[in-house]
Amino acid sequence: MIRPIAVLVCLPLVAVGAPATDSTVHQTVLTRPRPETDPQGMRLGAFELNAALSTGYLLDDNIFATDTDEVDDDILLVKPEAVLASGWSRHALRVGAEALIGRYRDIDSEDYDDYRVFTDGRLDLRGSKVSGALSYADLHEPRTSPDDEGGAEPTTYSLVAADLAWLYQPGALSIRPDVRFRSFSFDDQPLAPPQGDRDRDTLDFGLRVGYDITPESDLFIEGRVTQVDYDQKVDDDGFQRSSDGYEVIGGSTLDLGGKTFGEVYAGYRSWSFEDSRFEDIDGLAFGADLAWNVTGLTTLTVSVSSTIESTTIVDASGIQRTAIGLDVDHELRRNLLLYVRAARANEDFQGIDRDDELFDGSFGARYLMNRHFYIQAGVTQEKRDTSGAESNDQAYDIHRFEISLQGNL
Amino acid sequence: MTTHASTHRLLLALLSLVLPFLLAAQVPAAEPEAAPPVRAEDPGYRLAAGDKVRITVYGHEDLSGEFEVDGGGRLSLPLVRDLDAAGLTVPELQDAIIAKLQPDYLKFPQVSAEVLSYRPFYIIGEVQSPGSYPYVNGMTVINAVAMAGGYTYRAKKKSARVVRGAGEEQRKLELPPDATVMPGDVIEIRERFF
Repeated sequence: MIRPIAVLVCLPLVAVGAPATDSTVHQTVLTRPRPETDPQGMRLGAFELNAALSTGYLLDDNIFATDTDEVDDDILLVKPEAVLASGWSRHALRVGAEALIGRYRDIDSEDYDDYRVFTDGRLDLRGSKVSGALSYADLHEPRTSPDDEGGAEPTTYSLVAADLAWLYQPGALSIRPDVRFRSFSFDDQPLAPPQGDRDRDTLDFGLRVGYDITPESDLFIEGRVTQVDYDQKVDDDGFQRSSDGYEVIGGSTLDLGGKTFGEVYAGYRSWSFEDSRFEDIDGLAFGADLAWNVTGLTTLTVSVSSTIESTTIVDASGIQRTAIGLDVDHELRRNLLLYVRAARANEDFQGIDRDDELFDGSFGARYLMNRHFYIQAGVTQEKRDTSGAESNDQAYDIHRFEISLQGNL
Repeated sequence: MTTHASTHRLLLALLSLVLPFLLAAQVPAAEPEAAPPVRAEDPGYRLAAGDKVRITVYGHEDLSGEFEVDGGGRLSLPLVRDLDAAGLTVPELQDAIIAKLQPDYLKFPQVSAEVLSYRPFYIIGEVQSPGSYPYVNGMTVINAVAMAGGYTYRAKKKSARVVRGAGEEQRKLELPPDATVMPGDVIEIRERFF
């Protein structure tokens, strides 16, 4: 039996000595360098190794994300990670691995072992840069997913991801074509329908052209073409889910005096499906990601997005998701960071009478003990309300408390 | 586990998160008094260890010169030897020297004194380079911060805590940035929390 880690009663509030850097340009409370407490890693020749191990305790009062008969449990979380990064003046290379291991105290059928290995790099050429990334991950689908089949164990899947981009910047103009590949492969689970009809590959081509209006801001136009191919032409419910679509957006990266910065965009997107029973999804595409350093100690981050998500819910072609999030990060003391996060999302299931409202809220604190350790604790609420004739009773209200200790190299 | 039991555990966990902040809240200290408007060059300035003075005895070059108040608060002058100077104003110092010279050495000594340089001030807390710095006549708190490299991003800029004097005469003052600094002051730039 896994014994839960005891909850710490007191978090000492002891400030650590010398002041950190004062530069706040394009820095937020979270990204600001903290020489007294930032891990320094280990030098290995021309590379630097950064490694960390986090162990935590999570109390979840609704582990199956149900509307009635909620089941709660304690979960032991272990998260190791390591990244080896080059320190070259030209070009860059990183290799890394990370894992998230969850062990439930009572319902051990919910145990999971997620891991990911990755490499990414950059080639600095004359007048341009080429960047690429490759990763493989074995993950589990959370019970909050609308595609969760309610099997005896969480659905697991593997994800292969590959990205390649070329950035060419002749003066104020920038041109950036890129290609992204994703391959999902789902595993069957006991007491659940077969998952093989969810296996799919996604290929995405994009081209972004930008023009610098100031050294810190630019205007851009971007077009993307995406193709989603399911391995099984017809899924187990008789639908052809392969699809393709395009998106054209225009926007700007902003920098208002270094205190407010980010990106805003808007445009048009269209999505169509091989199955003639699925209607095309057309409409406005928009998004924003803005950070505002209200004071040197508080950062407000606003994010807005509209996306089309894949789904395998019967009769539904996809999910049109619109979300808005607000994060507040505050540095109460140099080694004590507080955060509050809130996000609302609307998921409009295309083709069926179902509309979901989601709310995610959390608050917590991180106490940086020294370069090698920090403690983090927080409370989260995750809520889904569903409406419509085909809402499928997937509403839930989940509360979580988590406390963790991270050790860094 | 029942819903009630899990709710109680969640509430207990929430309390353990909030309680340390409540316990760590300190009773606010008494408000320091506002600074009196005294400047170093004023006649009311009192000497202390580190101040350097020029003593001129009219007609007696061998009794004149530049002298520094030592760590014990004393001036070592020709004929007078050790003179307790700490805590004296410049007029009082002149009178003390006259009292020592008259009548044993000089009938009617004419003594003048002036402060050549003052003892340093000290600045600590949320500045780039805390430490001691030479005092400049008429300087203010903001001047002192500039000499120490400027504020850090966490500095409380609206006021500074200043410890002035020593022993029983020590005072703790709350000064705005444009307030005058005195030699020997210990200026603390505190950190802000919001």
